[in-house]
Amino acid sequence: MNPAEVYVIVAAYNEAPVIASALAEVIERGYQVVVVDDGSTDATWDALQTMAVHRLRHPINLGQGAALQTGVRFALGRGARYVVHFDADGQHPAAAIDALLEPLVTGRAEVSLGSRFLRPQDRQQIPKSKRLALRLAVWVNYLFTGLLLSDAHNGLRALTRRAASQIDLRANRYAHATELLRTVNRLRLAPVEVPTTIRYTDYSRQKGQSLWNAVNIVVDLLLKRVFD
Amino acid sequence: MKPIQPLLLLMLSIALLLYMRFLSSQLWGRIAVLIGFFAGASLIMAPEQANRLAALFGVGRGADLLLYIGIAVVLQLLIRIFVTLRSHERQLTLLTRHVALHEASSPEPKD
Repeated sequence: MNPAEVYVIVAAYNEAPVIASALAEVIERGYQVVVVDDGSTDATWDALQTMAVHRLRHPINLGQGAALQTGVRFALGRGARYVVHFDADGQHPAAAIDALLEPLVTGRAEVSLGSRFLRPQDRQQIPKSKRLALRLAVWVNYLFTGLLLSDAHNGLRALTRRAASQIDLRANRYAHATELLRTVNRLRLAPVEVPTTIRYTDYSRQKGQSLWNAVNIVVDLLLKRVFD
Repeated sequence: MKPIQPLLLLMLSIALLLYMRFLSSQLWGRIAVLIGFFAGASLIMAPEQANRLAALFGVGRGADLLLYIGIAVVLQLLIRIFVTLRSHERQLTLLTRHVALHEASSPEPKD
């Protein structure tokens, strides 16, 4: 597998302090890194100028789902063979990318998803309050997507070109995670879960999604169900 | 003639004028609105007719019937507005994506 065929898509919104360090190792490993600046109001765009990445910018803020979709579209246009979703805030370790790609490269699956609940050492890293919410999220996710996963809200994903080109994310904000899984289930793509760690830093903790946001996402999904 | 009648007629006429001036562009829409105007105007001027009409639908008063119809119309308009808003949001997304893709820049090749 040639790392230059792997496009790592990063949606960034106001991550100027950490974006360079979050992606340094990924860039070093030779992957194609695509950063989509989702209308940041801080110095994120400036920070990107000196990084060896493909850079795209949304003139207005659309949301993480839209930014990922833009990045994936770009990657597919450049002939990407594999597409990876990766966070901009340093929560994801670069080594996770290899783990995610393994089932795709061996042909075991077309979609692989990171999970924090497959190994005890990963599980223990998660703050207790989050753990319960995530456990519940697994069941809500099953209700909406038909997929029973161990980690329903993990931003680490890898897709083959074929899978990625069949997914068109329309939920701009956070409901994209569920929308993606629903499509994957509908297309019978049988995703594989891969153990991954998340590094919780004070920076990322403070930026984390609140429980209210989760309620918002569920409402979003219900509306989609009714109208689409 | 009750004082409310010319007042309602005035409000209805202003609504008609504003609609014709700012919101309408197609013939059938205009015809529909004109019919609505005349129906509304006649009910305003002859409220007893409204009572008869209401009785047909099993509603007590003509005023009540008009209220119910008014609510239904407003709800429908509201929903139309939301649908339009959503479609605008989608268009905005596609437009922003188009701009982002076209202005994309890549790192200098290292050789």
